[in-house]
Amino acid sequence: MSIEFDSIQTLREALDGKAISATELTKHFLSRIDQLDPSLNSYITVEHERALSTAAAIDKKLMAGERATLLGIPIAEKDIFCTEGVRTTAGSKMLAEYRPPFDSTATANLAAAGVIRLGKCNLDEFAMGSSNENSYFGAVKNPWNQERVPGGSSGGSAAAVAGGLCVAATGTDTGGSIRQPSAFCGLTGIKPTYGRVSRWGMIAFASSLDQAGPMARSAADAALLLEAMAGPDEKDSSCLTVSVDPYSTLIRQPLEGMRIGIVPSLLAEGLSESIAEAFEDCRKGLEKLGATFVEIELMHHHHSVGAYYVIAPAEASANLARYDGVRFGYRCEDPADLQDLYLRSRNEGFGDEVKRRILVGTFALSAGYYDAYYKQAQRVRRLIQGDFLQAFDQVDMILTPTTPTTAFSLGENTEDPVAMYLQDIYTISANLAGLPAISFPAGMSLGLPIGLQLVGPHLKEATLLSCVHQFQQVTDWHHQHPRNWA
Amino acid sequence: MGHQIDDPTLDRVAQLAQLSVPGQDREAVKTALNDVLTLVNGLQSVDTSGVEPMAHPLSIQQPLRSDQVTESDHSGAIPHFAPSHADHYFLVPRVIE
Amino acid sequence: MNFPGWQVDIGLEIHAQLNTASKIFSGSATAFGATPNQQASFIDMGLPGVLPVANGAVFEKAVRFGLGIGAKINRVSKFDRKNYFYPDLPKGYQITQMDEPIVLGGQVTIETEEGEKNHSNYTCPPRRRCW
Repeated sequence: MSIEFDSIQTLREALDGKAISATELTKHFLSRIDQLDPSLNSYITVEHERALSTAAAIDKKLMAGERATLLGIPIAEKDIFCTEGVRTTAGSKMLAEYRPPFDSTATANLAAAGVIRLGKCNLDEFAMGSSNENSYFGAVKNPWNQERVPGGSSGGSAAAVAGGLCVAATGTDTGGSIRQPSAFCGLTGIKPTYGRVSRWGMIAFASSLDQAGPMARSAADAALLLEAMAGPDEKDSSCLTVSVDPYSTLIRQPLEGMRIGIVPSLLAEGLSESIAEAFEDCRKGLEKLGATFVEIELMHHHHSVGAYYVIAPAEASANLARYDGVRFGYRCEDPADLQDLYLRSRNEGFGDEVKRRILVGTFALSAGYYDAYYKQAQRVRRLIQGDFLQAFDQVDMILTPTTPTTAFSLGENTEDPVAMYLQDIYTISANLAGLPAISFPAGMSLGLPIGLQLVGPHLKEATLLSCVHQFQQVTDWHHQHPRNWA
Repeated sequence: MGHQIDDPTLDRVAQLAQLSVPGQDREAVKTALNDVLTLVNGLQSVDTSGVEPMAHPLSIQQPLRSDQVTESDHSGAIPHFAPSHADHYFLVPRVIE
Repeated sequence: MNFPGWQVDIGLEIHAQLNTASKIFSGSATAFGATPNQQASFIDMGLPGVLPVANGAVFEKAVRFGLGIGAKINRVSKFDRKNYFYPDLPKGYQITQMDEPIVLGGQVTIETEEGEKNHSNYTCPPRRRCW
């Protein structure tokens, strides 16, 4: 296997053993990006100089004998994480030239761990989308099949990792935006418990749902990244103060005795046959590893998408009110008056999907509708969480599909926003409930990856990662990668 | 209770959101918004009596910081983010007639 | 002027600033007399990705004020976002205690020509994006 698809462990040994330097490794990825990314469009900003100067500094450390798990590992970050002095666009014209004066905490944590940032990845605008077709910087292609979407909103991150244009990447997940692209691109991506990773410097979409997480080639790699990203942060009031579990050690836990829940109603309709088959195969595989399966019900689960498409747009409408052309970001030319400044800056700066969601959200919060829509959705949200908490009395985690189909074609769902929204039918409930959830590769169909999902109780990321890691010891779906795609 | 977005509602909502919907897009936007509302209207059938709204997925208490000044003077840097600024001020078109 | 049958009621909305050293949601100074935007941090400016962190002294002083005017102190209070657009409102919303304020009611005694009068604190009904 060529180095661009090597695991973090393999690269670590190569770097420490001086088989390769951090500079050579970085140059390798940068040259692949230059050569191959034009056909994927997974990067918005590539940081050639900065990456190489970081690599040079890290080589000095390595020569001096410094050792750390992520030291010198080249990664990419979703362009929603503020990176000091480096363009951070959120995939939008509104921030096309914006350079933040500070790093996000997730960025700073990864930098402190010694990663080399290759650049900022493409995404659906302001994280709103499931296909990465909503970016001001153009759609991203799936390296498995370039007529297909990589998923969204973290489509650029997914395509970059899957295409061997970085070792791993950061993503964010509000309704499935780490897990769904991970499924479409054959990656292992985890959305941790709400509050596990600080949201300081993470451009807000829906504050009570947003969460950052890693997208990688394996549970082992994801564990290493999550360990570095996560942790308390006094700059984020919603960030949990409990210390971070040593995920990379805990993944070796065997599956013996684990009870995994299956929700029959989720497997009933709308699921493609190939995914249903992969689900059955996975179930058998996990049983062989010592897990037992229990049928459970999640009574209010079918209201997840409805509740989400009130709550998320409502929160987004407030979070995106700051983009008004006054203090930063895009401003229209020659505004006639203040009203014109606001209207044209926002109309010209935002794409259609963002505007749609702002309108839905504003409607749901407006006088006369607030109780019927927003408050009702928040009550249903509590019921949805309650179903999960009850289920976790009987099981340690729940296995579901990640997506109803494999990667769909570019343009297939762009005319029908609701069809696009229904892509997130399996992923949304974990965001509403604040629960950790992971997607992992579990099959292939007609050359496209199939992902499955495990949802766990609050702060049980280690349980999810270890289950996937054990599965990955006896399967090789996660080792597959697109070949000759350029 | 099925709320449909008609023209007056669209205008009012757009005004609140400081967005405008140009003539040729109005029908498409109304259709898209009404489709979302159809998706969402299923929530009305859920019995939520006695259920508290959940604003936040975890019940944690608001952390409080101590009353210290920790910030320095950014007035040199911050206005430079603005599309239009002079000295320490952000410039906007006249607000008060 | 006399308008028989009519009584004039004038309400006063009074904004009083709590004398904390730093702001309610950021560690910026609150000193009077600074130059414009000298005490405005990234958080105050509402730059993308910033988050507010609440100043504990604000709650302490609010409770003291409440006790001073005989108000009800709510053990549970919450903040809401009041959304509107204005150039001096960086986030496009105000973080405010609309639904469940920490202090409710109370009385202020005022000297008038007719002697002391007690004026009760009214709070207006919650408004959401209603303009």
